[in-house]
Amino acid sequence: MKKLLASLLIAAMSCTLLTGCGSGKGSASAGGTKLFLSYTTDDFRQAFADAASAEAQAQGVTLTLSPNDATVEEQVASIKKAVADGATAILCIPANASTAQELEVAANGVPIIFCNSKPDEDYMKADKYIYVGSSEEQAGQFQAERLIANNPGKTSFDIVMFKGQKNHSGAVGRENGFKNTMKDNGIQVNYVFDDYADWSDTIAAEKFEYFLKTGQHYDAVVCHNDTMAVGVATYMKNHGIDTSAIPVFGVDATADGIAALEDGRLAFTVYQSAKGQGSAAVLAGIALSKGQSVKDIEGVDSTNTYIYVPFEPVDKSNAANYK
Amino acid sequence: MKENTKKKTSISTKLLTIIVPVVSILVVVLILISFNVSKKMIQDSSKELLRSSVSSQSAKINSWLDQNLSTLSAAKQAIEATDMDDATLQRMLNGFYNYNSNFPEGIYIATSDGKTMKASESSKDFTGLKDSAWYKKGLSTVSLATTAPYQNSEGAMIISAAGMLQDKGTSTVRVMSADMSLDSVTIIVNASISMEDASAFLVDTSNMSILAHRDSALLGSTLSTSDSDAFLAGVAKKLAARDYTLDDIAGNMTAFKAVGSTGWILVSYIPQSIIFADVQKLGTLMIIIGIIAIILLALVIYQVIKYVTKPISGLTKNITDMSSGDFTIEISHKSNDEIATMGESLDEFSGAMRHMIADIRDTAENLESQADNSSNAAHEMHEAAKIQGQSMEQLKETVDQLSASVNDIAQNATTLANVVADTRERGETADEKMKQTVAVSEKAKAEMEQVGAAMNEILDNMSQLQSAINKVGTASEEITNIIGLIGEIASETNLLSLNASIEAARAGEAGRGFAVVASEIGKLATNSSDSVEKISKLIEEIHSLIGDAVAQADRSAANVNESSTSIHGAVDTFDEIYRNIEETNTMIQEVLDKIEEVDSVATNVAAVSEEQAASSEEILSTSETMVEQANHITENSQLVAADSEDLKKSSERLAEHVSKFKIDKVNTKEVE
Repeated sequence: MKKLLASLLIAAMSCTLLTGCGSGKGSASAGGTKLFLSYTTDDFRQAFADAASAEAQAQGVTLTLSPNDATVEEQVASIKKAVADGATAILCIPANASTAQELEVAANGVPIIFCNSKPDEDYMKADKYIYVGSSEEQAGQFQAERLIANNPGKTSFDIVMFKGQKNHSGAVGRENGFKNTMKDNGIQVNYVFDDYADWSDTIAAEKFEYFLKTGQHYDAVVCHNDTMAVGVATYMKNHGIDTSAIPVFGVDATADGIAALEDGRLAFTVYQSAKGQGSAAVLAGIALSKGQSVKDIEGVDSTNTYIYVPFEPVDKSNAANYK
Repeated sequence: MKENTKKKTSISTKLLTIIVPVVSILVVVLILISFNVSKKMIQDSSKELLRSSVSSQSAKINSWLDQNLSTLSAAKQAIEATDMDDATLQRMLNGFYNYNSNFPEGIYIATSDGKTMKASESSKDFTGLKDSAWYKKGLSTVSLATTAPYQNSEGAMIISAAGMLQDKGTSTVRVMSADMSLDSVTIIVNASISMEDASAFLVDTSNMSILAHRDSALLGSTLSTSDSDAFLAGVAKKLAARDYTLDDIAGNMTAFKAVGSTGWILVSYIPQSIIFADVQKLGTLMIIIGIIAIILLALVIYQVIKYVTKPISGLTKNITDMSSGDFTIEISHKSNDEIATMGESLDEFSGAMRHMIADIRDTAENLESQADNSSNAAHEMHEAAKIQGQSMEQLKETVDQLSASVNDIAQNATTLANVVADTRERGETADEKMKQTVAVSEKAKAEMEQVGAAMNEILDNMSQLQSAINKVGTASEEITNIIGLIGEIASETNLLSLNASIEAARAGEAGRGFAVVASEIGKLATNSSDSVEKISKLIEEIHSLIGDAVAQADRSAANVNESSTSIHGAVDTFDEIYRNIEETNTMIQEVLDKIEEVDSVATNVAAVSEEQAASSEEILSTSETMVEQANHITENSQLVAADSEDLKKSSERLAEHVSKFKIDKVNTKEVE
């Protein structure tokens, strides 16, 4: 009986040891960490890439940039090549977040840090396929909190809202963040206009014009990015609508947004830290390359899958810091 | 073993009580492990299934919405693109009536100035237009968007897709809308669940109302965290917290999924009991198999044990006979296994025992007489040991005395050594003192020699003084002579003055002056002669004084001479004393050396006698131990005597017992 128990125990322990070794095999060999970043350029993404390069240099690791992956096909091809060249972790601003699975197949087991555009959670995996970005809900939350703070005692608002793209994670997150925060603060909100303007200033201005035709009362204009906000605010200014009485809120703190903040067209925007995201993505890439967890990186959530770099509220008083 | 008269557990029972529980435990453990692994696997796959089911349903609803919206958007764009007159528009609206089953009433349009248009066959009621949900929604968006679900005039739950038409160059606002029945959504929610036995329902989180549910009574009702139904209350709590993770709510595995950006949440759930029904079935089956296996195993084991142990019962009977002293039996052994070997061996054993018992019987008799002898010997030994003990006691006393004497010697030697050491110390002090004496007498000798030298000097001085005095004597004699001469001159002078005076007198007056001088000279001469006389007398006196002094000096010289002689004698005496002291000193030194020798000898003697004392101490303790040993021997020989007495009794008993065994072939039972 004792012998039998002993052999059972030994068998069980051997299994544990074997599987333990098996799972350990995924970690990178003891060579240097080689990171790879696939993205296309725009202002924000270039700032992100610059920050990532700086952090990689500071950490003494290699970071190869691939700045012209505008399509999913190009991204898949460059990721395959990077993996063949021995990349230990892939940083990727996906051209289309819904193609996450395709990119993961292309990476062939190498960890991917998705940045900026968030794939569906079904395709994420702790310490393997992770996301570095900012919590979109937080941007909407900051807008709502500022609106409430600027109007103490006011319990109901008529709001005009210009949203990004339908089903875009940024648009959904910012809309939910704003609406939920207002609701949670017991504020009655009537969305007198609530439409998608596809991040575009001209679409926003055009739709705003139609809204004005309805002659409805409105207290504030809330936009999902600065481009739309500046489009609407400029239209308002050109048509004699006082943006100090009806504040316009944006997100992103773009150069145009900051300029509009300073001349009073915009009341408030939210800065998405390209620098913070670039730096966090590289730190996560280093951790995953070494087969470690991202649990010690600042801003990581409890599932070790999402690293959120905080947004920063920006108004006229601190606009100069974000030029 | 059935005939086993004593209440003992049989081997087969023992084996069964060990093997059956062990087998049972193993079977139970195996069943438990399999059950838990299966449970976990089924649970995980159920979670996955539910998740994918709710995702696919949500995607279906979303795509249904998107499809309708895109159809309607195409129509909207067509209206916006072509600046139709009312008749054309009316024809178009008529064309959409019953065009799509999802919005059978087709498209309708309302303007801000109250004008409305709809398909001619449509039953759409425009009462309360400005307050209607679809119109308000239409004013708030240019892209088509859906309203929250509401009841239409016929009481059916519908949603409307509405949006402003992008009319340029006019201040009137046109809102286009279409009513969509939620039937399709309800069908998706209720009938499109890919997981068997799972259910789903759709909640609008803007007001927590239930949009679709299998239980039509719940349609349109509002979810509340205080709902009497624990499951609905739990769902409401999760939704209120916007926590859309998979969870176990009131015994239901529940998954949540947002439907696009509608604010609708699809809730899908399956009772855990259903998930575990299979697991339980499997568990029950395993338990049944386990029980059957245990019973079968127990039976098989029992039979095997019984078969194996059967020959043992025969052996047991034989052994029982043997245990009652009957070694006359012979054992049959037919088979060829270990038990047969046992039988064979037992048979051989029985034979051997017979021989042995016979031997023992003889031996016991011998033993008895030997024990007798032994007892006697022990008694004798006891006596001898007693005597030995006494001798030892005496020896011990002798050694004791010896030890005391040696101790005394040691003590005396020590005292001697101490005395010698003391003497040596004193001798050293005497030596010291003697050395001081030598030094003092050396000094005295030197001083004495100085005194001798001084005395000689005095002698010299004395003779010088004598000669000086003698010279004074001579000088004073010469002075006396000169004085005599002066006296004579004075006398002649006096005579001459007399002559002169006489002559003067002769001369008369002319000689008067001269006569006076002559008398003066006479007087002077007389005085001189008086002085000479006095001087003579003085010198006479001096002379006699010098004579005294010389005599005195002579006497002193004689005395000093005498002293000098005695001092020289003293110096010689001192020299002799000094020599004697030195000799004494040398002798003392020799004495000291001798004392040193004595001291070392005395110390050695003390040490040796101490060692002797220790040795004799040891001898003493050894002899004490010997006395004890001798006493022990005495006691032991007493015990031996007692034991041999016992032995004798035992051998008597042994003989008695052995006589009980039956070993006579006369009684042999022939088994074969």
